[in-house]
Amino acid sequence: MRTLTIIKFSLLFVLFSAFTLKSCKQTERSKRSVFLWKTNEGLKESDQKTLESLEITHTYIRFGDIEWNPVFQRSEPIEGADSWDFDAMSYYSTAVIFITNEVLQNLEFPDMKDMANKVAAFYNDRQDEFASRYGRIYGYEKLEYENYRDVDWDAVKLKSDSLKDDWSLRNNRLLIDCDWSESTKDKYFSLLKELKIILRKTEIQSTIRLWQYRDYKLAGIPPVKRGLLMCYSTGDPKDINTENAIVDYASIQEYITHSRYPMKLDIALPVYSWGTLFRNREFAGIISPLSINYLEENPALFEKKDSINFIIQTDTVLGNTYYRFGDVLHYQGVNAEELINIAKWVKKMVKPDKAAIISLFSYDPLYFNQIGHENIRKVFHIFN
Amino acid sequence: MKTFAKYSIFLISLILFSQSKSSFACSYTEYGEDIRISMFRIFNENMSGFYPFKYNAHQYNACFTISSKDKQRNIQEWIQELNPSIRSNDVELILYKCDPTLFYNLYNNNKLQSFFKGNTFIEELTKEKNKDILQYLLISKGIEYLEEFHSDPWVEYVGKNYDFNSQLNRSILEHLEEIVGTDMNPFLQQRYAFQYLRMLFQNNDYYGCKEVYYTHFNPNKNETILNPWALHYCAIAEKESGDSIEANYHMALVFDRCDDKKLRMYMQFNRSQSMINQTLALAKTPQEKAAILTMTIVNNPGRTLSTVQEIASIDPGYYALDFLLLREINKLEDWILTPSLTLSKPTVLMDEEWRDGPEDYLRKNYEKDRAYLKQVILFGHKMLSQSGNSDYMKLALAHLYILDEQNSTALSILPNAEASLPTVLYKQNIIEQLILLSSKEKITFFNNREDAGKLFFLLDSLYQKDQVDGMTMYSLCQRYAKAMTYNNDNVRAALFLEMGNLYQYSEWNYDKKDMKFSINEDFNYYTLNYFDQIASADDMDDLITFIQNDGRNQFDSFLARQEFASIEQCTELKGSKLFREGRYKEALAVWESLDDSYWLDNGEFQYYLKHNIFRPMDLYSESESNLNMKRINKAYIMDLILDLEEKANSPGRRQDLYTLKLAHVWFNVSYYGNSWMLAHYYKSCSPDNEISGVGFSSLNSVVQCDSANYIYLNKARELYEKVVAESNDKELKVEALVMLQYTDYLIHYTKYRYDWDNEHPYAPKYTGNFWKEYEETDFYHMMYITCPRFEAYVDM
Repeated sequence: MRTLTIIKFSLLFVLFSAFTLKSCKQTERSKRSVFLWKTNEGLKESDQKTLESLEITHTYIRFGDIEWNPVFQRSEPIEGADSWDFDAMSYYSTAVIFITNEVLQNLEFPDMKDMANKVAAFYNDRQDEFASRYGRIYGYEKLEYENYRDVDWDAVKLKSDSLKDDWSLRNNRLLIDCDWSESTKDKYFSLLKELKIILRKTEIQSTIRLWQYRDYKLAGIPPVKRGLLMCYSTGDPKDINTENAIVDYASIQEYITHSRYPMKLDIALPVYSWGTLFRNREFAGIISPLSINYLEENPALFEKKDSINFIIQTDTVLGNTYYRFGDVLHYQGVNAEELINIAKWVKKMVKPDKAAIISLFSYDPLYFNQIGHENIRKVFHIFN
Repeated sequence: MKTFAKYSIFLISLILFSQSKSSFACSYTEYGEDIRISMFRIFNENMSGFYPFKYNAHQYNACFTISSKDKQRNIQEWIQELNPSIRSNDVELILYKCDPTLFYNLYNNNKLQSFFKGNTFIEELTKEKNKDILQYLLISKGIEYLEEFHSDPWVEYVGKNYDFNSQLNRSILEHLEEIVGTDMNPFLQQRYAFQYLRMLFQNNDYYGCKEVYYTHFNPNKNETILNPWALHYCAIAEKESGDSIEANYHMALVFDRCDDKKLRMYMQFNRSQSMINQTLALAKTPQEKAAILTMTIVNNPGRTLSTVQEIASIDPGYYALDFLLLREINKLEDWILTPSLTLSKPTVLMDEEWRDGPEDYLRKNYEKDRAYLKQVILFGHKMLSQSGNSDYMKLALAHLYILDEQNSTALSILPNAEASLPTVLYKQNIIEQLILLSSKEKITFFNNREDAGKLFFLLDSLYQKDQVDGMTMYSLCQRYAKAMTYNNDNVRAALFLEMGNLYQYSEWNYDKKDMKFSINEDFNYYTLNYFDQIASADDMDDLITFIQNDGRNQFDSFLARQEFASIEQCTELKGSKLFREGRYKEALAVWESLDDSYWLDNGEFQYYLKHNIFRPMDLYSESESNLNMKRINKAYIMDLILDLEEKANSPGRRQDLYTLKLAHVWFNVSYYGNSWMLAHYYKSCSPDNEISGVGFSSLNSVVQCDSANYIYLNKARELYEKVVAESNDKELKVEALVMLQYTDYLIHYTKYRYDWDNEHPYAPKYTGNFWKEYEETDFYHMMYITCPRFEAYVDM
């Protein structure tokens, strides 16, 4: 009898613990993030305030691109964001290095080790730069004083160095962005493996594009623990019949058709928009960034044909493009309602884990205002 | 039945469930610079500094210049300083082509003279009296070494010698700082000063850079090439330091005075109206004002004639005016000719009635462009008289008149064909003569064609030597293709389009031998594509005659330089065209003339014509072992069709069965069937994609002239309906009904492929009780079990 009581009690205890643990886990939620994709602008204090108001604590920072130079027949690093453009930095960050598929196509398999060395050196250099910048911003630049003589500068330097080191330790993640193909899959995976060896203390991650998710058996699974699913770029912007090359709900459903992807995934959702220009029904270029408000607020230049098509009203040069009277500007972006539907579908099918980072591509006050901050909160909330 | 069911579930579900909206195109779409028409391409030595700004669909034509003016000026200054007898090639070799490490090694080992034996520059440099100059050259080679090392983009991150080069950088800076300002001859003084301010700039010491410039140079002087080179660093340093107006002004001076720095100065220049006004206020001479204004428009893709006229009024002799006019001509070619001679739609036809309407943008733009053309012509006349009737201006004006369709005026202005002209003008003269020969009034005459052929050959020989641009040849071929269509000569039109294509892609080192769609080396659909799209069956006879003709005139000989398809391939295509045109017995006769082996040796017929033509693959699976490999032959299939047609039209026993079989055959030779390759050569995800525009938009494609049957399944459906109406056999009737339902579905989704908002949802024709009377048939059972969509229709 007593044994039975003990068992019952233990069982109750176990159940109770499980319940409370589950409740504890339920209070965890996915990390909110944005991509900082501009190379000529960093995060300003006003931007940081916006992010904080939306409880966005993580940013993806574009460290740079690795491109193929056909003239010199070599890969070349192109630096992305400049740390000196940043007046503020988020607490959590992940570095992003984009490698073009052309680089992989033009290099041989044995070159991957050398390539990994270069990428690692590039990453280390930029990581050090951004870590130093963080230390500087929050160690020096935020310091308030009336007389510089009153400041213990050695202590300030120590604090700055400490902040720098903490930032480095805390943010030791590198996301490799590459739209690998079937033919470059093996080289790319080899590159990732080499990077993991060289950057032992860094978590290497890889982007996963929609087609790679859907056709994962064909595309292969990159040898990393975590990937970032990019839930956009579903169409061909040059095709006049493409309603929205960025993303739409129907396209997402056509790509995310299963829940079997054998890797934990973070999620990136699009908030950007652009316009595709057609002249005489022929593709003539992409205008980015572009907000629907700008088009609607300039009716003298853009006559509204329907909700997304505008007709240029006068010959004009904007940037380096000569727009002709009659050109059709086809606005493409994602509205709040569709973004929410997409988020729901992704949540339902992909089932990101609690540690997943949910990110918006990319940060620009123009895009955020277009979607609306309240709607952005709703999107993040879906993944809680 | 189970095996059958297993296959059927997969196949039918696959077809009926996986009708995706679109496949996202992964092919490249030509636009912009790929197709731009441009035939006026005079680019003489005086313009070479403007190479980055040649009119182009990209942001810049190039990020480098081809001008050697600055280099030659530098070389001459060295020669003048040392000894007028020095050869300029010898100087160029040492200054511009000698590796710095090699130079240092040779110097350190006293081997400069022996290694460069005979080099007059080295002979002079190694004289005792010139030792200071040699020292300077060593320093500058050291700087060159430093920069070369840094030209490896990875070295900053992985370079093991990075620290070494930092030390080298510092030691050179220190040495320069020491030596600049010491007593030495003006030549060396300026050269050291130049190197020093350059090093300071590279080390981000902008104040130091400016200080050194103003100590040793003067922006009002241009006595040495170093002045604009040095001013360019100073100008950017000024911009970085916040002296923006001064910087802008100096950038204009640099832009005006040297070629190498034009692009960089343009990229740094502030073109806002308020800045331009303030910059103009600093200009001291008309030339400086002209330079500032030139920088505002030199890369502007829109109409800029008003500013060009302003420059001409300020400084009538300004050297950039020829180039600025060239840009306006290229723009007009692009605006007026590119839509007319390429697939940009619609064509701007000179002799068509205009449709009036509120959205007639193209007409309005065309009229604006023609009006602008007239303004440019007027300006051209002014420039012609100011230039003293220069040949360049004559050619420019003639070209403008051709654009304005005033050919006789153009001819009267053009220099004589035999005139002795500089090479670049001579080439353009040939081009203008060739353009004029393409007019409707001229091209029909044999003599004119002979002359045109000769000119084409001449231009082609220059093209082979890289003296004529491939896109110029492409533009001319497009023009001639259009001229041929006016003569209803589809064969020569297609041949010119093919030639244009070859010139267009050879620019990109495109090897046409790679453009083969089949696995077989002999079959080259690529050479037949144009004919497939635009030629009639009768045109194919003309093509065959053309290919077989030995006694060609110059015009045809030029066209005959391209690779032709074989006579058998042309014949086979003729058969396909006859089929598409509904001339079935003729098609049979044509295909019968080909050997059996042709179908196995050419193309992919062996993969696409081996299926059972009597069974739609969506209803019946077909195991590999049953595939009909015996007679892969279009004549065989055509014969079967005609035989079946006769049986289906003959009243008698099983006429309904023959009718159903014939219906299946017509289904299977359609876009949706297993033998679509009977009269077509490729299949795309959307039927529309098969109509590939070729040439220009007024050229109608005939590739789907059989769309009534090929896409809309008229014949097949007619026969299915006949079976339903006339047959007493329920098995046959239900099979015909299922196909009617299925084809209805296919046609609906072809029509509403881009129905994003689902405004035209599909409503099945036959549902629910309609199928009741067929419930007992085997076919119904098979469909109900194996096809979820059919089941859904029945259950509605």
